[in-house]
Amino acid sequence: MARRAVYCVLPAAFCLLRLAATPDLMAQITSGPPSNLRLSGATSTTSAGSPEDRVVDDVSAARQAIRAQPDSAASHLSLGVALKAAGEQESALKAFQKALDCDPRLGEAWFEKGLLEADRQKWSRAAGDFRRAVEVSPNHVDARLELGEMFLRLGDFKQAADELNTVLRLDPRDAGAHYGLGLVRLQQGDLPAAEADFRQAISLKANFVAAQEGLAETLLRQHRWSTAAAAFEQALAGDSSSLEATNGLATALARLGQRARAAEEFQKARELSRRDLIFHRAQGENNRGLELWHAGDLAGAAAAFRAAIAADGVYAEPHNNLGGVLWQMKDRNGALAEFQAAIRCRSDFAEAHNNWGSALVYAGDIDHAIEQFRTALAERPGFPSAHFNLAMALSKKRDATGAEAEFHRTLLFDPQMAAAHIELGLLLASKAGGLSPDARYELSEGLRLDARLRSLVPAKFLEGLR
Amino acid sequence: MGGLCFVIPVFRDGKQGQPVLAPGPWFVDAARRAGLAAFHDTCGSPAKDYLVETVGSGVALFDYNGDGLLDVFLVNGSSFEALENPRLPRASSRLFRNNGDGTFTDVTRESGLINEGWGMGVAVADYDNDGHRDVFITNFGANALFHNNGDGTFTNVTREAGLEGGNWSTGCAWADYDRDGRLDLYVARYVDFDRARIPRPGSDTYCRYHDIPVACGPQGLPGLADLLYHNEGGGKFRQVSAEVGVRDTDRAYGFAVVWLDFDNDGLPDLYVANDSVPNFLWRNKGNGTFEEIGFEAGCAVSADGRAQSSMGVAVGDYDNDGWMDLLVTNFSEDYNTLYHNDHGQFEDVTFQAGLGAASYSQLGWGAGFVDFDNDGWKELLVANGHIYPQVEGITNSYRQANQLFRNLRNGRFAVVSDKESGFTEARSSRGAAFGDLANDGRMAIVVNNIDQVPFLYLTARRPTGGWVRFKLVGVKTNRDAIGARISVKAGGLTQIDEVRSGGSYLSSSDVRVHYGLGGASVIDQVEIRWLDGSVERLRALAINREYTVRQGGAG
Repeated sequence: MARRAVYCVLPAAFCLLRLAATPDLMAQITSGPPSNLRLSGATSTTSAGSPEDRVVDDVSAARQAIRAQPDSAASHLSLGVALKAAGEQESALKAFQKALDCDPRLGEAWFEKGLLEADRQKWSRAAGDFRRAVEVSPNHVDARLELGEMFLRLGDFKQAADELNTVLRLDPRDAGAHYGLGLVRLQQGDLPAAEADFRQAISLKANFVAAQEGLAETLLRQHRWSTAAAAFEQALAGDSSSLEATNGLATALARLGQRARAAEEFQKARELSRRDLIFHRAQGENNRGLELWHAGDLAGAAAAFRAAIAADGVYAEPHNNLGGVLWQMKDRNGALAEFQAAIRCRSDFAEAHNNWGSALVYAGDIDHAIEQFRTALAERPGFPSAHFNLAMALSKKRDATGAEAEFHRTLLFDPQMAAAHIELGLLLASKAGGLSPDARYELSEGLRLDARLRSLVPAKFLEGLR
Repeated sequence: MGGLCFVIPVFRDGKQGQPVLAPGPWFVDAARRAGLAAFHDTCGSPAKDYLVETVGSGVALFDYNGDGLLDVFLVNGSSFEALENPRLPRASSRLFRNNGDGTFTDVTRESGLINEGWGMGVAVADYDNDGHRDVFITNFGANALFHNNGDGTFTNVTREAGLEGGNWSTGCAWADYDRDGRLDLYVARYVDFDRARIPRPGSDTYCRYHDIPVACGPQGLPGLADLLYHNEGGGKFRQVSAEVGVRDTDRAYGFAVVWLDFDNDGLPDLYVANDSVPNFLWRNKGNGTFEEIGFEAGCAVSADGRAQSSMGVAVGDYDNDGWMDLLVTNFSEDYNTLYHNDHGQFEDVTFQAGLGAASYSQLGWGAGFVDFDNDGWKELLVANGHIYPQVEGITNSYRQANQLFRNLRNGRFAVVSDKESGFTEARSSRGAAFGDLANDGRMAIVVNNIDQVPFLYLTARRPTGGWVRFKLVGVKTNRDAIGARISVKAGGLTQIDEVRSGGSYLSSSDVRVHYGLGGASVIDQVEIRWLDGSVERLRALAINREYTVRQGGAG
């Protein structure tokens, strides 16, 4: 069983230890619109706070519907939405694509796909998807809003303004559109119009930090130092780590003659900028480590992850990745320590919780392992490896019912996970006292997906499967 | 004007009054006709898999042989193959002698100015005050200092001077920051580049651009601290960055470097355009040390507080208010930033000046505020070109037309159409330098284009006004008079500029200072503030000529 536990940690860990939760920042992102540009809340349907059971139910229902009608675009769309809510973006993207394969005129699928592309900072692709969405559904306000945002990001201010004005024709109270138009006006140097739009956005949506920052910047450019300072302070109340707002506040204070406070804020701005540089360099080392790891250079990868940690001690990912490498290098204690360190850096790091749990299984501490898997799933309800590892741990605790449920959940989110099919098949066979039809199906499916797993299946069952 | 002023009128062929603008473009590219197309830049592989292959090189305009004519030095890159295999031919930088008839002759071999490293930047100055301009070249690899022997040849004195640096140096500029009469040198450095450690294009987030696999960096890669060298005399330099407070502790990705007196206190300050991180303004405290005040002075980041990906920098008082302004060229999907200087405090006025939208798609490099039409107001030239060939036809153009912005004399600029500017051929341009190649009062531009032949833009239109040019000779200060400020009062305008070496993008322009005079028929007053604080004034000067002024010689 230990070998199985190791199996389930490593291949899963290998892919999951990737830079899963780090923003997909490009090297040129310092250019262009503000980093907090977000015109709508359309992506807020993600997962983190969704009750796990509801997410599971939604995915389950969608899969059932697809089984009933494999070519139903609507069902694939529902599956995509449910997977997205479960935090499984890659799977969701495939589901949306499948929906569009079934029906290219499904505007909502274009829209949802566009949102995922935008989340991955693939602006051009996202713009293409949103454009298709509005072609199919010209009154799709959110799609137009997102399209406007993409145009802004791509620097096409005229098209951005056109889309955002269309949004306002459809919904004059859309705060995001006013904010976006404010940015367009700002870029065009039309400060009074920008100010009006930002103010409108703020009046329509309380605590709209980005709009507040835009307003402050507009006031600063008009040399209205006092009101600009107040506006920047409000923006910083919503996002204290904004370099833009900190620098703006410092500038306004300096112009107001408040030298001491200005100096303090300028120093903060420098520090924020420095933090950003450090983070990028650490991320670069982390990425290099991943490349080396993928190439099989464990020592090189470990060195790169350590360099990333040295550059930025509070950066969780390299700790998690180093843990994975050390695990492969058989340094169990070192791995355990790194997984823990990753969680200390970021308590909501689902992948690190999963890995720590796996290491605990190996160490024989099943109860704490289960705790870690459950924490991982609370953060990321659709996390297939965590479901699988939890099932394995419950199985060790002889909680067959719980284990069976978790294997099913694993397969709900990742129907292609061969090991889950095999383990579920074995569990079902054990429960039935033999090769039941369900067990036979799962084992067959598992071996079909990965014949190398034959070693996990007892000979008597293999015989039966023939 | 006193009798002690040493004045040499050179040319008088400019017309007084207000000539009618000739039709046709502002510039024509005369590189082929002039023989400069014999130079072809080499910068790594066409695919540009590594950042070092994307940044190109600079250009210098200086009179290497003392014949009174500006010669052209084009820095060349190299390739990994050439660096790794000594048997392969090297792509040397090239020195072209100005024949005085509109043509140039490659004199690289006989001059000995042979830089076979992977050349980046260049700054020219007479560092040993012997009357001959010397050449410092930054490389990917060891840098090189070539001493001008005064007989048309150069000697590589890098090692004796202690200026090798290391790894990847970029911008460089000379100035006498402590006013001891000897020129010091600032060298910006970029990425701590180890090819074996650089990820493959597309392999991670820092190696993708709009989802296209491209060369990685600079973000995500380690940087290198810039270096300030103090000229100790006797041909020796000492690296003094830390001891004088120039602590680039975060190892920013430095590119263009320019010395300027931004606060009019008579001391050379230093501006460094950094890629992806805030730019530096090192204020000279006057006691031999510096403090970094980019944020406080308002020129570290854009108006909205973003660190931009800065490449080049132009310095000039574009609105003739007596304070040196800055134009910083940046990456595409961003604008080139115009920082207006108001009594030492900068403000990003890009959009108010009409420069925002026009530069948004372009990736800017070399830049200069130069009065091309001699109307007394400086135009703005920006050399453009993307770094990723992979963007061609997908998100942008690798080859981008250079841009000329006409000064509207009200704080605003208007982009001149390609047809009108004459910049109709798009290449991927990098360094740009400016100077009067024919000594006729018309400022020319030489642009180094990556993997291409250069542009030589000559003024095609007759300038709208008269001109004057000053060549200063320092006696108590450095002989090139670098750091001296010249104020010219004529036709109701007072224009300022400074003698400098190094700027634009990794380039070095004519150290002589050119002024357009508009319709003025006489120069009312010229005030020269030498770097040692002494001030000399010249009055009632004739226009359309060059004046050589030796320090202490003006009455």
